[in-house]
Amino acid sequence: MDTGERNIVINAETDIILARIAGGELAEQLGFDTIEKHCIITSISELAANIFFIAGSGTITLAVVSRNDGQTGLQVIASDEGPGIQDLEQALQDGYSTSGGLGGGLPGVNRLMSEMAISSVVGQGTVVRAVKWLDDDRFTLRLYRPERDGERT
Amino acid sequence: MARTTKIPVLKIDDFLVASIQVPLDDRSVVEFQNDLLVRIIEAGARGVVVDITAVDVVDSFMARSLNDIAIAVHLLGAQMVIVGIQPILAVTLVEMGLTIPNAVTALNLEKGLARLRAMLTASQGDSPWPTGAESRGQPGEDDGEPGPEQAFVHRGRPGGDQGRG
Repeated sequence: MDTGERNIVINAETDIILARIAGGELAEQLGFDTIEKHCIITSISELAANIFFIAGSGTITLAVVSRNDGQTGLQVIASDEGPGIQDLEQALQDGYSTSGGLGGGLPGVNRLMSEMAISSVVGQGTVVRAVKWLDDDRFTLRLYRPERDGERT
Repeated sequence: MARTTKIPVLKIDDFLVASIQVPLDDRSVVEFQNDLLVRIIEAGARGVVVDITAVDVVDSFMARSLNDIAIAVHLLGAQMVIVGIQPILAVTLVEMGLTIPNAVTALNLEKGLARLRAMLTASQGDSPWPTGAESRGQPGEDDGEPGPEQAFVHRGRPGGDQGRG
């Protein structure tokens, strides 16, 4: 399995799509199910779009990481040298956006991924690190496990 | 850089159908919106169905774009229905807190077209420009006429103003 880091430089909108595709491939290799893969792809899309629309350019780095207990995860690091985030707390609130309705992105990523951390210096840039662990079952929809439907209720 | 993704817009009766098969970037979205608006005028379309069955990711950019397109379509007096939102998309949209408040949704193309027809029938009934007592009584007679346009262009139909006086 390819465990090396993958860097996708974001300079154009089409790079957002490339990052998305690379993330989807890696998620599949790691054995994430459809919906988890979708959470990862959407998050990457969101982070890459933030880079492009707010900072202009930056990098998405995808990597396979391991937790202390041996659990595997897919890590996404989005870094840019853009304007930075003035008020982190506010940026993590639902519905907050500085780029004309584009936002809502970070709280969304926070929910779609297992964990997320941001470090940002105004005027210097932003780094967002988000990880999806393989054992994160929050989005295991009944929809995708129809055989379990009868057991619940 | 110059290459954009052309989204075909098909005409069915009074409606246009566009199926988005690929991820849209900013340029493609603008092109699609312009294309759609021009086709609405050309075809005198009263409604648009945008099919996103093949779209695998809707991030906030895509959601906002779809919403903007819906607003522009409304401004031309047409209705827009989005069809084919996959279950995973619905889940992630909810998680992301994203909505497309200006477009109506339906399960698939067939239901989308039915929805458009229902909406247009309803909006005809609510038209602020009365089309005359006799045609109100028999809505079937109105079928061949452009619907939402009546609200803006009451061509050769002075009855609207008389009805108010």
